[in-house]
This record gives sequence, structure tokens and C-alpha cells, in this order.
Amino acid sequence: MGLLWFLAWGVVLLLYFLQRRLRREEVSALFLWERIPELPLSFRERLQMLWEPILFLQLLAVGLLGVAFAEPLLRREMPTGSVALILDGSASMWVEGRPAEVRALAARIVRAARGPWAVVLWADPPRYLAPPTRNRAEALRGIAQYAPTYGKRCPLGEALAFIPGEWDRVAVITDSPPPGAHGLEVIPLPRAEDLALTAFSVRPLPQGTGYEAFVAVRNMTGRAQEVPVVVRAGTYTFRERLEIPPGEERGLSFPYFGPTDLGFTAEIGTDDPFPLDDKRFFSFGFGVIRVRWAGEEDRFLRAALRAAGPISFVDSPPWDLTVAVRTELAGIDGPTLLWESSAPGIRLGEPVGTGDWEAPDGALAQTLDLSRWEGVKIHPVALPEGADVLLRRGGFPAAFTIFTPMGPVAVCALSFAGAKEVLLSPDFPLFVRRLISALLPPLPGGTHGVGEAIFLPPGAAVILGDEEITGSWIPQAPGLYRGKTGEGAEFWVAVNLPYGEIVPLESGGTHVASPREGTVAPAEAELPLWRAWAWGLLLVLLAEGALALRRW
Amino acid sequence: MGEKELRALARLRLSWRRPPGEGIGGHLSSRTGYSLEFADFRPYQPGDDFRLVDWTAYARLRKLLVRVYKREVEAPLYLFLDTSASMGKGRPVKLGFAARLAAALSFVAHRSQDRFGLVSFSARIEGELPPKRGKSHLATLFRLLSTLEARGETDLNTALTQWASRGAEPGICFVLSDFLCEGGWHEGISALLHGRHAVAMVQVLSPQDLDPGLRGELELVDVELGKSRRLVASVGALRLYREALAAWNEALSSYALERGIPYFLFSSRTSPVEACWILLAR
Repeated sequence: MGLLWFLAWGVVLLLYFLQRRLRREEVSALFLWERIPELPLSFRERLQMLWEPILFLQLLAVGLLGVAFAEPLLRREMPTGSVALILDGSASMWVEGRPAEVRALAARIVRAARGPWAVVLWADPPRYLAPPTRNRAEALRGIAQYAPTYGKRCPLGEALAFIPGEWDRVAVITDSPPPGAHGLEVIPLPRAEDLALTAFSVRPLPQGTGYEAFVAVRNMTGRAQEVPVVVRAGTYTFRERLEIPPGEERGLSFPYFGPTDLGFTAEIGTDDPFPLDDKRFFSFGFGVIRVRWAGEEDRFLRAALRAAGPISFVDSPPWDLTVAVRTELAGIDGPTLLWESSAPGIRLGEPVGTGDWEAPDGALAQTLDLSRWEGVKIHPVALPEGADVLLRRGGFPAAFTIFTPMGPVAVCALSFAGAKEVLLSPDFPLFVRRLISALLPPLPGGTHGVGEAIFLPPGAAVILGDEEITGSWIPQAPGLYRGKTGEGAEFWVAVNLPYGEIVPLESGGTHVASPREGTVAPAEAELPLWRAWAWGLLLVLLAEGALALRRW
Repeated sequence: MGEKELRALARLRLSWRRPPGEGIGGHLSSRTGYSLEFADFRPYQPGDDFRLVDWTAYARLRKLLVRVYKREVEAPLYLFLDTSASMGKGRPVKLGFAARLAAALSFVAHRSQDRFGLVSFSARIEGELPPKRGKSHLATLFRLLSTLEARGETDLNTALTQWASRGAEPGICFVLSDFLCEGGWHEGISALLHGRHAVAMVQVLSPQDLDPGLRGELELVDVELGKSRRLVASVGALRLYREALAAWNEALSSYALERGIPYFLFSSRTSPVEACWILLAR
């Protein structure tokens, strides 16, 4: 805004030339003016005649005033003392040539400072590349070791916790500047222009007849792209092409009727500088839950079971779960869900519909809206010893679990016959899922992200070359990993890049980066110049005043 | 003029080193004559008045010596006032300053019991008030001064020569003018000198004459001749003007110096009483 004062130049010039327009003046003796050349003069001569130092000084004064109001600052490069570098180590930094660029930038900053230095890899978890040191060579060695991970990065605060105390300069080199990083010097690096496979999954069809694979591709380049998509599962290969406008995402789905105990791979054919996001993996993991169905048909319960996980219904052994619906089981054989059913030691009475709801189980209390469950009736049942009540109505146990020598049993003593609105509400599948989870060991899903902890079931192992990993495992790179269960059955674990490493979340995923290099700004001090300008203005005004007095 | 100014003027006396004039008056002349102012001794010569013999000196020296006294003459004051159009220019107006200065000089002459008169002129004699004494004459002169108007061209030579040719009684002539007369002034002043007048040249210029303060493109018009000239008044142009004016005034000054004529330059901004003091303090 201060620069608008320069418009006053026009005013000064206008006043000056208005003052100097042709006018008539009477003088006592014209003969004294005879030595002065008479008009007409050429334009250049007239300009020369009209020019005078006071006008120049006035323009200079107005100019200085304008610059002073613009609050000028002098940016002066200052030698830096202590420097802490935080290098983004997330997977998105694997863009072609990016690690070398980061190493070069960081080394320049370290060389320009007096020290001490500290270099932190901003990954998940963060770690030192060079702990605080006064040895420049050590800091440079740490920088030379820089390589991004394949995972996401932790919150910035966790990385900053590695550099406590006062630092003259804290520089963060990243391709995704964190919002609100006040007081830090963020050196942004451009995101790559590329195509990314943002989603890949295989899900069962609602009717239970097969599966559907879904692929999504985002075009983060500045032009429309036609992308070949290939999905592989064992010997099965699916090929398709997608046309994607710039900045948009397109999805593709196709039916799949093959086996589910395979590893699925989706891939797009591009030659962009960030190939890590051109491939995604999917796996059902430890396979499907085999369910034996006994008793009456209940389509609502079947749908809720399918929604709870990968389920297949079998008629012959082996099975993982028995679901008995409104029947009476002769005996318990493995994990069993008694749905309005009786079994030895568990006898249901006729349904009643009064009493207040009570959910001792915290998960159900948080997820169910029991005020809508008024129409649901309850079969009075005697609670076996050692049972764990999940839901209660009118003092009767409505849902409970009990561990028998033949396997865990979950009992649902509720009748939903007169409460169709509950069957159609989200409460119902959540309720069923909770009962299933009480019966079966937690089966990990087959698809995970890099850096995500995977808890393998007892006996199961992931095979990494010659090594077999059991218990818990944190994958460090994307891929399709083979494993085997305790019974020797093969399973696959798919590990993908975290979504935030593929699409910059803060920009809504429509970021198209400009192909420019990141730059290192030297540490600078900003010196306000308005005082110097004001002194200059004073001197100019004094000079103008002196000149005017001299003429007077 | 206020009381304070008149009191200041009353302390002044019109004196001249070699006052012209013939009659007996109040101005000590370098010539010898009869007055109370002792001048010298000289040897007695037959025919000298015995009353002038210094008998004390005879008793001491045994020589007859006669006392010689200075002569006191009467010198009328002539005030020549330029009333040409150029005297009507300036802030303050030059004619106003000149008239007030003439009034002040008249008042001093009146206090000295000298005769004083006024001659207004432009290209010729415009008006004349013959030299007289007395308060009523002073009042008449003041009235005349208040009615003067600046008009016409200046021609110092013609006007002063015309007046001098009348053979007026020698007196002290104050010529109050801006002397900005392209035709010159030499002949006019010389005519006064030939008439055995004591002359003082008082040049009156306005601040605008001294530094016009003009800028830009101008059409300059000569207030007397009506001629015009279009030019650009730049810093350089004004410098040339000031140089021309300085040369003109230098010529005036040199001329006056050569002839032993007092020359004064006043800005019309000067106080007339102060100017009167400067004039008469010499």
C-alpha cells in the first residue's frame, strides 16, 4: 500500500507543470531579459529549461516517503549458528532423484552454519541421522545416510522432540509442508507429477455369489492420461484402460469368481518419477470364515454375518463357526452362535417384551441405540455359571458368552420378529459382529499399510526369504507377502503405501506440482529501513529548504 | 509616519560637504565668510575689517592676524520623484516607498529650516512644487505626494535636462527613481551637475525587480513600453536576469563614483525612516 505514495509523483509533476504553464507577467524593465532566448524552443530545450533541482528534490522526497510507508526491510544473510535439520523420511520422498536432492540441500545448510548440528529423520517413528554434535563431519555423515522409508511420517511434534533446546535455525525439508509449522523454516520440495493407484480391494458381492474387484487411479499430472490397468491373482489376469482427466480420479470394478486364498496385485503402466504408487496389493489374509448353518433360514442374520467379515457357508467339516438359528443343538462343537436357540445347559423360555435395557459391555453400550430396540423381545434364560453378559433387559441376560470345554458359545436370547426396524438399522450388523468377535480369535485382515503392526494368530508365520516371522510383524516395505498358518495352509498378506504418501491430503488430492527444484534460503535477518529512509527524507528536505532559501 | 518615526527623523539634519547655494543659510560651506564657525588665521591685509583682527595673537607674536570664519549658505532641497509606470510595480510599490522617503527628507529639511520642493517626472516634468519653507508648505508637499500616480514612460535625460535648463537656484537634488530607463540617465544627471546642484542618486527597486521569482513559460510585458517577450523562466534564465540587473546597477554605481555623487540602492521593502538615516548619515 505504501507504494501507492508513488502516485504522488504524478501530483508533484502536475502541480509543477501547471505552475509553469504560459502566463503573462508585467516587468519594470524588459531590456534586462534580453539575454534570455525567446520562445519558441524545441520540446527538449523547453524541458531542459523547465528542469530544476527543487523538482528533483521534491520527487526524491516523495519517493523516499513512499518507500518509507512501504516499510522496507533489508534482508541480510547472516551466518547461522546451531542448525537442526528435519528431513522428511516418508515414502513420498522416494520420487526419482529426491533423496539425493535432500542430501545436497541438507549438506549445504550444514556447511553454511557454524554448528552445532542435529539431523533427524522425520519418519514413523522418527530417529536421529546425526544426534546433536559439534562435529560437522559427523553431521554430514548422518546426512549421507539419509534414505526415506516406505511408511508415513509421525506428527511433526514427535520429530521436534528429538531436538530440545534453543536452535538458531530449524529447517524442515519436506514435500508436504505441515500446516501451522510456525517458527520453523520449511523448505518445500515439489510433489511429483504422477499417476497413482489410490485404491484396490476385492469384496464379496451382496448376493454372495462371488466377488468384485475395485481399482481407483488418480491423475495428478497436468494433462489427460490413458492408463493401462492390470490386475493379477494367480493365473487370473484382468486388463483394462482408463481415461482420466487431469486432477481427477477414476474407478474401475469387475467381477471375480476365482479362489480367495491368493494375493491380488493391481498395477498401472506409467513411467512417472514415483513408481511406488503404481502398484497396490490385496489379500483376504487368512482366508474366509467357514460357517456351518443350522436351524431356520434368516436372511438378515446371513447378511449381517457377511458384513462382519469374509464368510463362506459350508455343510461339511471343517468349519470355523456354527450358527444355530431358532433350533436346539444336540451339542456344542467348536465356536457356536446360539441365535434364539437352545443347547445342553442353555434353555430359552417364551419371549417377553418388557424391562429396561442395560449394556454391561462397553462396545455395545457405545455403538447401539437401545432406545429404538423397544420392539425386541427377550427369551428368559438361566445364566450359566461363568457367563459374561453383554446385554441385559429387565434383569434377564439378552446376550452373553460362555467358554465351554467344547468351545466358546455366544448366546443371543433376543427375538427380532416384531422389530424389523432394528433389523434394518446399523445396530443389527454391529451387534452380530460383536458376538462373532467374542467367538473367534481376531483374524487380521489381509491388507495393511507399511508401518502398521500385524498380529499373527498363534502358529501363523510370515515368510521373508529364509526367515519366518511369528507373533507380531511390522512390514517395512510394500509388497505381497506369503505366510502359512499353523495347519500349514498358505495365506497372503498385502502391504501397501499409506494413502497419505500417494495423495497429498492437505491439498485435497488435486495437487499438480510445478517442476521446479527446492531451494535453500540462507538464514536472513530483516533490518527495518524506514529509519534510514526517514533520515534520507530529512536530508532531502533540508537540501530543498537550503536551495529555496538561497533563491529567496 | 507615526510619532516614533517622526521623532527619529527630528534628530537628523540635512548636511552636505560642499553645499551649493548663495544666500546665507544654515549649511556650512567650505568657502570662507561670516559665521560663528572659526576656520583659520591669515595675515592682515589693508581693507580688512579691524573687528576681525586677533589682538591676542598680536600681543604674543607682534603680527597682525585676521580671524577667518566659515561661510554658512542656504541650499534648497529638490526632491525629484520618478512617477513613471515602472514605479507603480512591486510589492511594496516602489512609488509608495519613494514618496514616503521624499516626505521624510522634506520633514528633515523642514526641521533644518531649509527650503524644500518637489519635482515629479516621467518622460518629462509632470509636476513641480517650488522650494519654500514652512509647515504649510510641508503639508502641501505631503498632499501632493499622496496624489501621485505612476504612469507613462521614464526618460530621466529629457526630464532632468528640461528642469536644469530653467537655471534654478543651486541646491541639493535627491533623484528618487528605479533608474530602469533604457535610454540612460547620464545626460540628466550631468545637466543637474552643470547647474551646480549637489546630486544624490537614490535607486528604488522592488523585491520582484531584485529576484523576480518567476518560473515556467512566461510572456513578459514591459509595463512602460508595452513590448512583450515570450520565454522560459528557468533557473539559468533567472541567473541571466540577475546578472543583467547587477551590470546595470554597477554602471550606475561607477558613474556616481566617478563624479563623486552619492549613490544608494534601496529595496521598496526598506523602512523609509531607516533609508532616510542611511542617506543623511554620510
